[in-house]
Amino acid sequence: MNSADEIIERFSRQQPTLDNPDLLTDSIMRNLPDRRPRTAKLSPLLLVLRVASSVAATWFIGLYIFINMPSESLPTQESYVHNNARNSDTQLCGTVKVMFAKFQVINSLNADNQRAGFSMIKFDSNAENQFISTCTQLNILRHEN
Amino acid sequence: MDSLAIDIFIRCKEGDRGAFRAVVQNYQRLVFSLSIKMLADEDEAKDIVQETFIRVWQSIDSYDVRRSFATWIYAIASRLCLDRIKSKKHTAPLPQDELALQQFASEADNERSLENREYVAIVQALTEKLSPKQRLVFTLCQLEGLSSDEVEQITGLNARQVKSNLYEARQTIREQLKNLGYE
Repeated sequence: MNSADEIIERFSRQQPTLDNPDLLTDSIMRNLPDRRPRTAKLSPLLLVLRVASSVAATWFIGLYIFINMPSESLPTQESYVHNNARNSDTQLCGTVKVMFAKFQVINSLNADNQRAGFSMIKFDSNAENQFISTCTQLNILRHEN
Repeated sequence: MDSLAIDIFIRCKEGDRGAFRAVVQNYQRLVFSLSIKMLADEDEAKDIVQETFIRVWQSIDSYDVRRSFATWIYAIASRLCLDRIKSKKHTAPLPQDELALQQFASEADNERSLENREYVAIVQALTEKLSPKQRLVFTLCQLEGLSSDEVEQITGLNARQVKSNLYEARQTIREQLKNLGYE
């Protein structure tokens, strides 16, 4: 009787046979899918740049929206300008006060036609009174709109 | 690897189906041999051959022509066989499997080639108690005659793991044969 190891060794020398190898080859070749083109690997630097540019773009869009958002505190600013112009320090000349007031109003108003209206103010000694009346007028016009 | 083989693999990488056909013709016996020993089922072995070559075709770009193609394709086929073993229900050997083994063990004619039907029955009877990993290591080392280094590359196991799995597998098979009256 053969020992266990002899049987294992003898079996190891046996090999299965593949019937009709051509048939199997044909079947494999028929079932081959189309090759998908390899997608190029993105470099880590490119990935970082992508993320950074996305964050920056989002931030800029947010900033743009924030800047152009209609200010709810506009009437308060206008009244501040009005009061500021009226009660300002007497040492400042009228022109400076008007420029300061104009700066405040231009900052708070975003309509181009309103800015154009302010550019008509003359910076002479009577400018303070003119400016105050213009502001008041604008304030009224704005509330009417 | 000779320059002709390298040229064939380069053409395969470029999508040349004619070149790939030559690869299939050359290596399908190897994959079939491994699969039938692992799965003890001829039809399933042919399925694995198909799946293996489809995988090879899809991932040939990742094949490094400086490495052994046989080792690479063995690794793909081994993984597919292990997946198949894990997914299918365990089948106990049939009485005729043990009969085929007894017949083979008692045969005086050592040179007779076994038919696939007999071969499958004996593999089933011999390896039914092995774990999938032991079966893979036993098949590669003992039945395919690969070196320990090659088995390490194919299976991803280290030398100690290969050695211990092979030892365990041999012991289990010896026990199996002992139960059938062969010591």
